[in-house]
Amino acid sequence: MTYIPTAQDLYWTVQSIHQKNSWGIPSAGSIYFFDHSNHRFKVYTVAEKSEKQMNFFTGTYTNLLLLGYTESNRILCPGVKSTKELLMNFFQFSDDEVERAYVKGIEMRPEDPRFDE
Amino acid sequence: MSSADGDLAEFLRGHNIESDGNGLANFDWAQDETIGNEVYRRALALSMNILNEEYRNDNEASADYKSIKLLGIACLQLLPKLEAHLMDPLFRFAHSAFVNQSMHVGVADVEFDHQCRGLLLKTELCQSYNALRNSMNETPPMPQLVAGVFMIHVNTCFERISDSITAFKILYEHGEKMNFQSSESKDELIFQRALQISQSIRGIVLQIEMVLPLLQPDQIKETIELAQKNITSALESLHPYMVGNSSLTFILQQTSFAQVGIFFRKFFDGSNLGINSVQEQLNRACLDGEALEPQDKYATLFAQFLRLRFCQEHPELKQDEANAIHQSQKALEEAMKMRSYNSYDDFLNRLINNEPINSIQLSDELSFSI
Repeated sequence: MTYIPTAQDLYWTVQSIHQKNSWGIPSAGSIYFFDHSNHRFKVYTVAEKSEKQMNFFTGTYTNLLLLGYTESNRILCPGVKSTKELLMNFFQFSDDEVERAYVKGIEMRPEDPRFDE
Repeated sequence: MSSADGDLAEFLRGHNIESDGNGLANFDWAQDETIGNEVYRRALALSMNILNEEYRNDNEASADYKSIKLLGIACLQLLPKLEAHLMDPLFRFAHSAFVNQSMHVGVADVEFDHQCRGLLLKTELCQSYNALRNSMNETPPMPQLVAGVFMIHVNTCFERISDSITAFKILYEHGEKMNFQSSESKDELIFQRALQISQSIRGIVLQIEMVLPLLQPDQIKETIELAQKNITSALESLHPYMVGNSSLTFILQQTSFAQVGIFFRKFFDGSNLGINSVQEQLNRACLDGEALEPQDKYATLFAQFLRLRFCQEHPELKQDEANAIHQSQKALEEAMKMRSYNSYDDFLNRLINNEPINSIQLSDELSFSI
Protein backbone atom coordinates (compact mmCIF):
# COMPACT_ATOMS: atom_id res chain seq x y z
CA MET A 1 0.00 0.00 0.00
CA THR A 2 1.38 3.41 -0.95
CA TYR A 3 2.47 5.63 1.93
CA ILE A 4 0.46 8.88 1.85
CA PRO A 5 1.91 11.50 4.18
CA THR A 6 -0.45 13.53 6.33
CA ALA A 7 -0.28 17.34 6.26
CA GLN A 8 1.40 17.06 9.67
CA ASP A 9 4.11 14.80 8.19
CA LEU A 10 4.79 17.31 5.42
CA TYR A 11 4.79 20.29 7.78
CA TRP A 12 7.23 18.55 10.11
CA THR A 13 9.50 17.72 7.16
CA VAL A 14 9.48 21.23 5.72
CA GLN A 15 10.34 22.62 9.16
CA SER A 16 13.09 20.01 9.59
CA ILE A 17 14.89 20.93 6.37
CA HIS A 18 14.23 24.66 6.60
CA GLN A 19 17.58 26.52 6.60
CA LYS A 20 19.54 23.27 6.75
CA ASN A 21 21.95 22.03 4.12
CA SER A 22 22.07 18.51 5.45
CA TRP A 23 19.65 16.25 7.27
CA GLY A 24 20.69 12.95 8.83
CA ILE A 25 17.96 10.47 9.65
CA PRO A 26 19.22 7.53 11.77
CA SER A 27 15.93 5.61 11.49
CA ALA A 28 16.16 5.80 7.68
CA GLY A 29 19.90 5.05 7.45
CA SER A 30 20.28 8.15 5.30
CA ILE A 31 21.78 11.62 5.06
CA TYR A 32 20.26 14.18 2.70
CA PHE A 33 22.12 17.19 1.25
CA PHE A 34 20.00 20.05 -0.11
CA ASP A 35 20.33 22.57 -2.87
CA HIS A 36 17.31 24.58 -1.74
CA SER A 37 17.43 27.19 -4.48
CA ASN A 38 17.01 24.50 -7.14
CA HIS A 39 14.72 22.28 -5.07
CA ARG A 40 17.10 19.35 -5.36
CA PHE A 41 18.79 16.94 -3.01
CA LYS A 42 21.33 14.16 -3.04
CA VAL A 43 21.20 11.36 -0.55
CA TYR A 44 23.79 9.05 0.99
CA THR A 45 22.07 5.94 2.16
CA VAL A 46 22.88 2.54 3.64
CA ALA A 47 23.02 0.15 0.68
CA GLU A 48 21.37 -2.80 2.36
CA LYS A 49 18.60 -1.33 4.46
CA SER A 50 16.62 -3.13 7.10
CA GLU A 51 12.85 -3.18 6.65
CA LYS A 52 12.51 -0.39 9.22
CA GLN A 53 15.15 1.74 7.47
CA MET A 54 13.47 1.14 4.12
CA ASN A 55 10.09 2.23 5.49
CA PHE A 56 11.49 5.42 6.99
CA PHE A 57 13.55 6.15 3.88
CA THR A 58 10.47 5.76 1.67
CA GLY A 59 8.54 8.06 3.99
CA THR A 60 11.09 10.87 4.05
CA TYR A 61 11.76 10.54 0.32
CA THR A 62 8.03 10.79 -0.45
CA ASN A 63 7.64 13.79 1.83
CA LEU A 64 10.46 15.60 0.06
CA LEU A 65 8.98 14.88 -3.38
CA LEU A 66 5.62 16.25 -2.23
CA LEU A 67 7.35 19.41 -1.03
CA GLY A 68 8.59 19.93 -4.58
CA TYR A 69 12.13 18.54 -4.26
CA THR A 70 13.72 16.14 -6.74
CA GLU A 71 16.63 13.79 -6.28
CA SER A 72 19.80 14.71 -8.14
CA ASN A 73 21.95 11.84 -6.94
CA ARG A 74 21.71 8.75 -4.74
CA ILE A 75 24.89 7.29 -3.26
CA LEU A 76 24.39 3.76 -2.00
CA CYS A 77 26.99 3.14 0.72
CA PRO A 78 28.08 -0.49 1.00
CA GLY A 79 29.44 -2.11 4.15
CA VAL A 80 27.57 0.06 6.64
CA LYS A 81 24.41 -0.66 8.57
CA SER A 82 23.59 2.64 10.24
CA THR A 83 23.81 6.38 9.83
CA LYS A 84 26.50 6.41 12.52
CA GLU A 85 28.68 4.00 10.52
CA LEU A 86 27.88 5.97 7.38
CA LEU A 87 29.11 9.19 9.00
CA MET A 88 32.26 7.53 10.35
CA ASN A 89 33.19 5.55 7.23
CA PHE A 90 32.20 8.00 4.49
CA PHE A 91 32.57 11.38 6.20
CA GLN A 92 35.35 10.54 8.69
CA PHE A 93 33.31 11.62 11.73
CA SER A 94 34.76 10.67 15.13
CA ASP A 95 32.60 9.10 17.85
CA ASP A 96 32.36 12.49 19.56
CA GLU A 97 31.36 14.26 16.37
CA VAL A 98 28.63 11.71 15.71
CA GLU A 99 27.36 12.14 19.27
CA ARG A 100 27.33 15.94 18.93
CA ALA A 101 25.56 15.74 15.58
CA TYR A 102 22.96 13.43 17.08
CA VAL A 103 22.33 15.73 20.08
CA LYS A 104 22.16 18.78 17.81
CA GLY A 105 19.66 16.98 15.60
CA ILE A 106 17.42 16.25 18.59
CA GLU A 107 17.68 19.86 19.78
CA MET A 108 16.84 21.28 16.38
CA ARG A 109 13.99 18.88 15.71
CA PRO A 110 10.71 20.77 15.19
CA GLU A 111 8.11 20.33 17.90
CA ASP A 112 5.55 17.67 17.22
CA PRO A 113 3.23 16.17 19.87
CA ARG A 114 3.79 12.75 18.28
CA PHE A 115 7.40 12.82 19.47
CA ASP A 116 6.66 14.01 23.00
CA GLU A 117 6.67 10.55 24.56
CA MET B 1 -2.28 3.57 -18.58
CA SER B 2 -5.01 0.95 -18.82
CA SER B 3 -7.42 0.94 -21.75
CA ALA B 4 -10.26 1.92 -19.41
CA ASP B 5 -8.28 5.01 -18.38
CA GLY B 6 -7.54 5.76 -22.03
CA ASP B 7 -11.25 5.67 -22.68
CA LEU B 8 -11.82 7.97 -19.73
CA ALA B 9 -9.33 10.60 -20.91
CA GLU B 10 -10.81 10.43 -24.39
CA PHE B 11 -14.35 10.65 -23.05
CA LEU B 12 -13.54 13.75 -20.99
CA ARG B 13 -11.63 15.46 -23.78
CA GLY B 14 -14.28 14.53 -26.36
CA HIS B 15 -16.97 16.27 -24.33
CA ASN B 16 -14.88 19.32 -23.51
CA ILE B 17 -14.67 18.44 -19.82
CA GLU B 18 -11.39 20.10 -18.98
CA SER B 19 -9.71 21.14 -15.78
CA ASP B 20 -8.82 24.67 -14.81
CA GLY B 21 -6.67 24.62 -11.70
CA ASN B 22 -8.75 22.78 -9.17
CA GLY B 23 -12.02 23.34 -10.97
CA LEU B 24 -13.54 22.93 -14.41
CA ALA B 25 -12.74 25.13 -17.40
CA ASN B 26 -16.40 25.25 -18.40
CA PHE B 27 -19.82 23.84 -17.57
CA ASP B 28 -21.27 23.66 -21.09
CA TRP B 29 -21.14 19.87 -21.09
CA ALA B 30 -23.47 19.75 -18.07
CA GLN B 31 -26.29 21.23 -20.17
CA ASP B 32 -26.44 17.99 -22.18
CA GLU B 33 -28.37 15.44 -20.14
CA THR B 34 -26.85 12.48 -22.00
CA ILE B 35 -23.31 13.59 -21.19
CA GLY B 36 -24.28 14.35 -17.60
CA ASN B 37 -25.75 10.86 -17.23
CA GLU B 38 -22.62 9.29 -18.67
CA VAL B 39 -20.37 11.29 -16.30
CA TYR B 40 -22.51 10.14 -13.39
CA ARG B 41 -22.53 6.52 -14.56
CA ARG B 42 -18.78 6.36 -15.13
CA ALA B 43 -17.97 8.06 -11.82
CA LEU B 44 -20.16 5.76 -9.76
CA ALA B 45 -18.95 2.64 -11.62
CA LEU B 46 -15.33 3.63 -11.05
CA SER B 47 -16.09 4.44 -7.43
CA MET B 48 -17.48 0.94 -6.96
CA ASN B 49 -14.41 -0.61 -8.62
CA ILE B 50 -12.06 1.38 -6.40
CA LEU B 51 -13.75 0.02 -3.29
CA ASN B 52 -12.34 -3.36 -4.37
CA GLU B 53 -8.81 -3.73 -2.94
CA GLU B 54 -7.71 -5.99 -5.80
CA TYR B 55 -8.68 -3.30 -8.33
CA ARG B 56 -6.69 -0.70 -6.41
CA ASN B 57 -3.61 -2.91 -6.18
CA ASP B 58 -3.77 -3.82 -9.86
CA ASN B 59 -4.29 -0.29 -11.15
CA GLU B 60 -2.55 2.13 -8.78
CA ALA B 61 0.77 2.10 -10.64
CA SER B 62 -0.79 2.81 -14.03
CA ALA B 63 -4.05 4.69 -13.40
CA ASP B 64 -4.60 8.01 -15.18
CA TYR B 65 -4.97 9.89 -11.90
CA LYS B 66 -5.54 13.26 -13.56
CA SER B 67 -8.55 11.99 -15.51
CA ILE B 68 -9.94 10.21 -12.46
CA LYS B 69 -9.76 13.40 -10.39
CA LEU B 70 -11.32 15.40 -13.24
CA LEU B 71 -14.16 12.89 -13.56
CA GLY B 72 -14.78 13.22 -9.80
CA ILE B 73 -14.84 17.03 -9.99
CA ALA B 74 -17.22 16.90 -12.98
CA CYS B 75 -19.52 14.54 -11.11
CA LEU B 76 -19.53 16.87 -8.08
CA GLN B 77 -21.22 19.42 -10.36
CA LEU B 78 -24.08 17.01 -10.90
CA LEU B 79 -24.48 15.65 -7.37
CA PRO B 80 -26.48 17.40 -4.64
CA LYS B 81 -24.12 19.24 -2.22
CA LEU B 82 -24.68 16.73 0.57
CA GLU B 83 -23.72 13.77 -1.64
CA ALA B 84 -20.18 14.95 -2.41
CA HIS B 85 -18.87 12.04 -0.33
CA LEU B 86 -19.79 9.65 -3.16
CA MET B 87 -16.70 10.92 -4.97
CA ASP B 88 -14.39 10.21 -2.02
CA PRO B 89 -13.08 6.90 -3.46
CA LEU B 90 -12.17 8.60 -6.75
CA PHE B 91 -10.20 11.41 -5.10
CA ARG B 92 -8.54 9.05 -2.62
CA PHE B 93 -7.48 6.64 -5.37
CA ALA B 94 -6.35 9.46 -7.68
CA HIS B 95 -4.22 10.81 -4.83
CA SER B 96 -2.61 7.50 -3.92
CA ALA B 97 -1.98 6.67 -7.62
CA PHE B 98 -0.38 10.10 -8.00
CA VAL B 99 1.93 9.55 -5.01
CA ASN B 100 2.78 6.02 -6.14
CA GLN B 101 3.65 7.10 -9.69
CA SER B 102 5.52 10.21 -8.49
CA MET B 103 7.76 7.96 -6.40
CA HIS B 104 8.63 5.97 -9.50
CA VAL B 105 9.43 8.95 -11.71
CA GLY B 106 11.13 10.87 -8.87
CA VAL B 107 9.18 14.08 -9.25
CA ALA B 108 5.78 15.21 -7.94
CA ASP B 109 3.29 17.90 -8.93
CA VAL B 110 2.83 19.70 -5.61
CA GLU B 111 -0.33 21.41 -6.86
CA PHE B 112 -2.01 18.12 -7.60
CA ASP B 113 -1.18 16.91 -4.11
CA HIS B 114 -2.76 19.93 -2.43
CA GLN B 115 -5.75 19.91 -4.77
CA CYS B 116 -6.46 16.29 -3.78
CA ARG B 117 -6.08 17.13 -0.09
CA GLY B 118 -8.65 19.92 -0.48
CA LEU B 119 -11.10 17.65 -2.29
CA LEU B 120 -10.68 14.95 0.34
CA LEU B 121 -11.41 17.42 3.13
CA LYS B 122 -14.69 18.22 1.37
CA THR B 123 -15.70 14.58 0.90
CA GLU B 124 -14.65 13.50 4.41
CA LEU B 125 -16.64 16.27 6.11
CA CYS B 126 -19.61 15.48 3.90
CA GLN B 127 -19.37 11.74 4.66
CA SER B 128 -19.29 12.38 8.39
CA TYR B 129 -22.21 14.82 8.15
CA ASN B 130 -24.23 12.26 6.20
CA ALA B 131 -23.76 9.69 8.95
CA LEU B 132 -25.06 12.27 11.43
CA ARG B 133 -28.05 13.18 9.27
CA ASN B 134 -28.90 9.52 8.69
CA SER B 135 -28.93 8.96 12.45
CA MET B 136 -31.49 11.76 12.69
CA ASN B 137 -33.82 9.99 10.28
CA GLU B 138 -34.28 6.86 12.42
CA THR B 139 -37.87 5.92 13.21
CA PRO B 140 -38.74 6.19 16.04
CA PRO B 141 -36.32 9.09 16.74
CA MET B 142 -33.33 8.03 18.86
CA PRO B 143 -31.80 11.15 20.48
CA GLN B 144 -29.09 9.16 22.27
CA LEU B 145 -27.96 7.63 18.97
CA VAL B 146 -27.90 11.06 17.33
CA ALA B 147 -25.86 12.48 20.22
CA GLY B 148 -23.40 9.56 20.03
CA VAL B 149 -22.96 9.89 16.27
CA PHE B 150 -22.59 13.65 16.66
CA MET B 151 -19.71 13.23 19.13
CA ILE B 152 -17.87 11.12 16.53
CA HIS B 153 -18.74 13.67 13.86
CA VAL B 154 -17.55 16.70 15.83
CA ASN B 155 -14.24 14.99 16.63
CA THR B 156 -13.80 14.03 12.96
CA CYS B 157 -14.55 17.58 11.83
CA PHE B 158 -12.08 19.22 14.17
CA GLU B 159 -9.38 16.68 13.26
CA ARG B 160 -9.92 17.41 9.58
CA ILE B 161 -10.00 21.17 10.16
CA SER B 162 -6.76 20.87 12.12
CA ASP B 163 -5.17 18.89 9.24
CA SER B 164 -6.38 21.54 6.86
CA ILE B 165 -4.84 24.32 8.93
CA THR B 166 -1.53 22.44 8.80
CA ALA B 167 -1.82 22.15 5.02
CA PHE B 168 -2.61 25.88 4.89
CA LYS B 169 0.49 26.65 6.96
CA ILE B 170 2.69 24.58 4.64
CA LEU B 171 1.50 26.68 1.70
CA TYR B 172 1.34 30.05 3.44
CA GLU B 173 4.57 29.86 5.45
CA HIS B 174 6.69 27.72 3.14
CA GLY B 175 5.01 27.96 -0.27
CA GLU B 176 7.73 30.27 -1.60
CA LYS B 177 10.25 27.50 -1.11
CA MET B 178 8.15 24.85 -2.83
CA ASN B 179 8.37 24.06 -6.50
CA PHE B 180 5.06 25.48 -7.77
CA GLN B 181 4.47 26.01 -11.48
CA SER B 182 3.72 29.68 -10.76
CA SER B 183 3.18 31.93 -7.78
CA GLU B 184 -0.40 32.48 -9.05
CA SER B 185 -1.17 28.78 -8.73
CA LYS B 186 0.28 28.77 -5.20
CA ASP B 187 -1.75 31.85 -4.25
CA GLU B 188 -4.91 30.31 -5.65
CA LEU B 189 -4.35 27.16 -3.57
CA ILE B 190 -3.81 29.22 -0.41
CA PHE B 191 -6.98 31.20 -1.15
CA GLN B 192 -9.04 28.06 -1.76
CA ARG B 193 -7.72 26.43 1.40
CA ALA B 194 -8.51 29.51 3.53
CA LEU B 195 -12.02 29.62 2.09
CA GLN B 196 -12.53 25.94 2.76
CA ILE B 197 -11.43 26.27 6.40
CA SER B 198 -13.69 29.31 6.92
CA GLN B 199 -16.57 27.37 5.42
CA SER B 200 -15.82 24.32 7.59
CA ILE B 201 -15.87 26.45 10.75
CA ARG B 202 -19.16 28.03 9.67
CA GLY B 203 -20.58 24.56 9.04
CA ILE B 204 -19.52 22.96 12.31
CA VAL B 205 -20.94 25.85 14.37
CA LEU B 206 -24.29 25.49 12.55
CA GLN B 207 -24.18 21.75 13.17
CA ILE B 208 -23.41 22.12 16.88
CA GLU B 209 -26.36 24.52 17.20
CA MET B 210 -28.56 21.96 15.43
CA VAL B 211 -27.71 19.03 17.71
CA LEU B 212 -27.07 20.82 21.00
CA PRO B 213 -30.60 20.26 22.44
CA LEU B 214 -30.02 16.50 22.21
CA LEU B 215 -26.66 16.42 24.01
CA GLN B 216 -26.02 15.40 27.62
CA PRO B 217 -24.14 17.87 29.88
CA ASP B 218 -20.85 15.94 29.58
CA GLN B 219 -21.21 15.85 25.80
CA ILE B 220 -21.88 19.60 25.72
CA LYS B 221 -18.78 20.18 27.85
CA GLU B 222 -16.62 18.04 25.54
CA THR B 223 -18.03 19.74 22.44
CA ILE B 224 -17.43 23.24 23.72
CA GLU B 225 -13.88 22.42 24.81
CA LEU B 226 -13.14 21.03 21.36
CA ALA B 227 -14.77 24.02 19.69
CA GLN B 228 -12.93 26.60 21.79
CA LYS B 229 -9.54 25.00 21.26
CA ASN B 230 -9.86 24.24 17.57
CA ILE B 231 -11.79 27.26 16.34
CA THR B 232 -9.55 29.70 18.20
CA SER B 233 -6.46 28.02 16.82
CA ALA B 234 -7.87 27.96 13.26
CA LEU B 235 -8.88 31.63 13.32
CA GLU B 236 -5.49 32.63 14.74
CA SER B 237 -3.66 30.72 12.02
CA LEU B 238 -5.79 32.26 9.28
CA HIS B 239 -5.70 35.80 10.70
CA PRO B 240 -2.58 37.26 8.96
CA TYR B 241 -3.77 36.00 5.59
CA MET B 242 -7.46 36.84 5.88
CA VAL B 243 -6.99 40.36 7.13
CA GLY B 244 -4.66 41.45 4.36
CA ASN B 245 -5.54 39.47 1.27
CA SER B 246 -8.81 40.76 -0.22
CA SER B 247 -12.18 42.20 0.68
CA LEU B 248 -13.65 38.71 0.40
CA THR B 249 -11.25 37.16 2.93
CA PHE B 250 -11.76 40.16 5.22
CA ILE B 251 -15.56 39.70 5.11
CA LEU B 252 -15.26 35.97 5.78
CA GLN B 253 -12.93 36.56 8.71
CA GLN B 254 -15.15 39.22 10.29
CA THR B 255 -18.19 36.96 9.75
CA SER B 256 -16.40 34.06 11.47
CA PHE B 257 -15.56 36.29 14.44
CA ALA B 258 -19.20 37.39 14.68
CA GLN B 259 -20.64 33.87 14.33
CA VAL B 260 -18.24 32.39 16.86
CA GLY B 261 -18.82 35.30 19.26
CA ILE B 262 -22.60 34.81 19.10
CA PHE B 263 -22.17 31.08 19.51
CA PHE B 264 -20.04 31.21 22.64
CA ARG B 265 -22.11 34.04 24.10
CA LYS B 266 -25.40 32.27 23.57
CA PHE B 267 -24.55 28.81 24.75
CA PHE B 268 -21.57 28.93 27.00
CA ASP B 269 -19.35 31.08 29.13
CA GLY B 270 -19.10 34.00 26.73
CA SER B 271 -21.91 35.93 28.40
CA ASN B 272 -19.36 38.54 29.45
CA LEU B 273 -19.20 39.43 25.75
CA GLY B 274 -21.52 42.45 25.62
CA ILE B 275 -24.44 42.60 23.23
CA ASN B 276 -23.12 45.83 21.77
CA SER B 277 -19.68 44.28 21.10
CA VAL B 278 -21.29 41.45 19.17
CA GLN B 279 -23.50 43.91 17.30
CA GLU B 280 -20.45 46.00 16.37
CA GLN B 281 -18.68 42.88 15.13
CA LEU B 282 -21.72 41.99 13.02
CA ASN B 283 -21.76 45.51 11.57
CA ARG B 284 -18.07 45.16 10.65
CA ALA B 285 -18.84 41.91 8.80
CA CYS B 286 -21.87 43.36 6.94
CA LEU B 287 -19.88 46.32 5.52
CA ASP B 288 -23.16 48.12 4.79
CA GLY B 289 -21.79 51.41 3.53
CA GLU B 290 -19.03 49.96 1.35
CA ALA B 291 -19.21 49.87 -2.44
CA LEU B 292 -18.60 46.16 -2.90
CA GLU B 293 -18.47 44.01 -6.01
CA PRO B 294 -21.57 41.77 -6.32
CA GLN B 295 -19.61 38.64 -5.38
CA ASP B 296 -18.30 40.36 -2.23
CA LYS B 297 -21.82 41.57 -1.44
CA TYR B 298 -22.92 37.95 -1.72
CA ALA B 299 -20.29 37.04 0.89
CA THR B 300 -21.94 39.44 3.39
CA LEU B 301 -25.31 37.65 3.23
CA PHE B 302 -24.48 35.23 6.02
CA ALA B 303 -23.45 38.15 8.25
CA GLN B 304 -26.71 39.91 7.33
CA PHE B 305 -28.60 36.81 8.40
CA LEU B 306 -26.67 36.56 11.69
CA ARG B 307 -27.23 40.25 12.48
CA LEU B 308 -30.95 40.22 11.83
CA ARG B 309 -31.40 37.04 13.86
CA PHE B 310 -29.30 38.51 16.69
CA CYS B 311 -31.39 41.71 16.71
CA GLN B 312 -34.61 39.72 16.89
CA GLU B 313 -33.32 37.54 19.71
CA HIS B 314 -32.37 40.53 21.88
CA PRO B 315 -35.10 43.06 22.79
CA GLU B 316 -32.34 45.57 23.66
CA LEU B 317 -31.59 45.76 19.93
CA LYS B 318 -35.17 46.40 18.84
CA GLN B 319 -34.22 49.87 17.58
CA ASP B 320 -31.61 48.29 15.25
CA GLU B 321 -33.94 45.77 13.68
CA ALA B 322 -35.48 48.05 11.04
CA ASN B 323 -32.05 49.02 9.76
CA ALA B 324 -30.91 45.37 9.78
CA ILE B 325 -33.95 44.46 7.68
CA HIS B 326 -33.35 47.34 5.27
CA GLN B 327 -29.66 46.52 4.88
CA SER B 328 -30.33 42.80 4.35
CA GLN B 329 -32.85 43.58 1.60
CA LYS B 330 -30.36 45.95 0.00
CA ALA B 331 -27.62 43.32 0.20
CA LEU B 332 -29.90 40.74 -1.42
CA GLU B 333 -30.58 43.17 -4.29
CA GLU B 334 -26.91 43.96 -4.83
CA ALA B 335 -25.44 40.48 -4.32
CA MET B 336 -24.47 38.18 -7.14
CA LYS B 337 -27.03 35.41 -7.44
CA MET B 338 -24.58 32.59 -6.98
CA ARG B 339 -24.26 29.31 -5.01
CA SER B 340 -26.52 29.51 -1.93
CA TYR B 341 -28.18 32.83 -2.84
CA ASN B 342 -31.66 31.30 -2.85
CA SER B 343 -31.11 29.89 0.64
CA TYR B 344 -30.01 33.28 2.00
CA ASP B 345 -32.97 34.92 0.29
CA ASP B 346 -35.32 32.39 1.87
CA PHE B 347 -33.80 32.56 5.38
CA LEU B 348 -33.62 36.37 5.45
CA ASN B 349 -37.21 36.71 4.28
CA ARG B 350 -38.38 34.27 6.91
CA LEU B 351 -36.70 36.39 9.58
CA ILE B 352 -38.25 39.54 8.11
CA ASN B 353 -41.70 37.89 8.17
CA ASN B 354 -41.18 36.42 11.65
CA GLU B 355 -41.44 32.87 10.36
CA PRO B 356 -39.57 30.07 12.14
CA ILE B 357 -36.33 28.68 10.73
CA ASN B 358 -35.53 25.01 11.04
CA SER B 359 -31.96 24.52 12.34
CA ILE B 360 -31.65 21.30 10.31
CA GLN B 361 -32.48 23.08 7.07
CA LEU B 362 -30.12 25.91 8.01
CA SER B 363 -27.31 23.43 8.59
CA ASP B 364 -28.05 21.39 5.45
CA GLU B 365 -28.13 24.42 3.18
CA LEU B 366 -25.30 26.53 4.57
CA SER B 367 -22.78 24.05 6.01
CA PHE B 368 -21.07 23.25 2.74
CA SER B 369 -21.20 26.44 0.75
CA ILE B 370 -19.90 29.91 1.43
